[in-house]
Amino acid sequence: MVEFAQQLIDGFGLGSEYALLALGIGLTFGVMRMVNFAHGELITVSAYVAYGLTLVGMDWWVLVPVIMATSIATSVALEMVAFRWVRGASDFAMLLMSFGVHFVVQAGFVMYVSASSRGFERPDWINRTTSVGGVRVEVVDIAVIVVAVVTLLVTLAILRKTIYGLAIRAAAENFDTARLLGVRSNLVIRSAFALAGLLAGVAAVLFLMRTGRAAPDAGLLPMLKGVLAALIGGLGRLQGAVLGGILLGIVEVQLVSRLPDELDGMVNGITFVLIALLFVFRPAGILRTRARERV
Amino acid sequence: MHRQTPGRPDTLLTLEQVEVAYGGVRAVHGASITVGAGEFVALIGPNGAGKSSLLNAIVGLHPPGGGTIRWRGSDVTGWSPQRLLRAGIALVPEHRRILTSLTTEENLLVAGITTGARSRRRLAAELMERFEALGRRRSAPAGLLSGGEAQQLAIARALMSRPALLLMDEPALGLAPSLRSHVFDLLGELAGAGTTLFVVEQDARRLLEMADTAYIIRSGDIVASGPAASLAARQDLFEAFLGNGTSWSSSPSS
Repeated sequence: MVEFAQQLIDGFGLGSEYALLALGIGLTFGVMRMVNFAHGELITVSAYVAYGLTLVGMDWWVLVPVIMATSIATSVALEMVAFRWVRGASDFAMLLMSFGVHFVVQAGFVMYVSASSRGFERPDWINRTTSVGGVRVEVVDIAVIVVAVVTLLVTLAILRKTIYGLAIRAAAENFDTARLLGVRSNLVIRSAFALAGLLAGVAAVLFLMRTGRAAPDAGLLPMLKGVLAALIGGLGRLQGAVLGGILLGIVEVQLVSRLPDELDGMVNGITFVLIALLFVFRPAGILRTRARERV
Repeated sequence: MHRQTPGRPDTLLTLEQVEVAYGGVRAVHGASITVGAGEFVALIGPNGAGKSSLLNAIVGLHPPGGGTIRWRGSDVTGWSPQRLLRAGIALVPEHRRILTSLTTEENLLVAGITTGARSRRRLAAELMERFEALGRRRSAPAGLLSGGEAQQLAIARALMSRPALLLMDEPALGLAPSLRSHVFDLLGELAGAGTTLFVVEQDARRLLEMADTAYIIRSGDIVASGPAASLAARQDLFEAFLGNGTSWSSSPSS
């Protein structure tokens, strides 16, 4: 029982990170109808910024806002430099552009920094453990869950209570109608990318605190998991993305704990196959498709 | 409804030989229309005549392929919907286009994006008081509103930008007869309050009773125009350009 509770906490923590990424992917999908396969690059860029700044001795508490600002700026910059040119284009054009950006950023780090990964120091408290109701948990897991939940609640509040959030939701439902109501295309798309950047920035901080590693492909797996979580919840749906992320995290942790050690390397593959089977029975994801529930 | 002399008010909107085409198919051929401040202008015609295409061109959703659109004398051809809204032109679109995932109040608030936060909230509250049904259902998802409530929301939403000119695309379309009557009453109220209206409708008889000036469009051509009362009296126009007499009666849906 204690072991199961520990696995649940682990899964919830991991799933919260996926939820942050899935929500960002869902937001940009909502306003552009583009699955952003370059979303993981926000983590890659953040990782190298963290690596560079820890080299010069910057404290993690200062590093956190810097990473988040970096992620927001990178997200908005990628929209301005690359994605704006495929607005309203075919799905293929958008897909190719997002893959193109992914490969260009990755190759840039390989060419100008290093093909191998670079480790950097993580905060001291990262490996400490504590007991919660008899269950032994790592402090980092509690931090991840608290930070992710707070971030998700703040994002929800932004989407429901601010005019920018309302504009993003309006554009996600019907872009032309939103324009008719006075919503500026540039503003709403950049707001969505900025918010997605903020969410990815928080995910990057949590992810980098765990791994302490910068590599050209650092964002690849988190991006794939984010896309997967967004798909599980039904692309572009707020609650779906969050649920999809948490579900994915719990499934992964369960697989890791239940599979024989020699099959650890197959966890990602098995997860993808299980999700594929899910879509056979629930093509629209885990939630029913109802327009009014979309982002 | 004739609140001023048609043709002589200060001109707000002028269309000069406007052409609209979709993929090489011309929907509107050289339409020229003038809307004066405080005027109630009707554009009537059968299904597929080019009415909605013309409205979409005016508000920038589908820029015209030729001709000029002037707003208060300035050329605004090709402007975006957002820019035209800020200039003072709002549209109540065909089929209402309610944002169903937002609540009634959120629909109004997002439509007030062109104004400051305080005035946006004040105006939304005023409109929810004026349209009582919207006030009662302010927190309901707009997708759950009835047809009549949704139409009220579409009109209230357009008023959120305090437009100088309100364009309406078949506001009574798809509504039950009693609700259609309510919509026309609402048009009368808006016109009475001095709102400049440019309304597209298939229910020609009712609209001509209310409008100052009317234009008849058929197959993309403006085939007649003039004071609404004069056009209403010309049975020959009804029969020639809008089919038999039944076209002038209420048509609940297209």
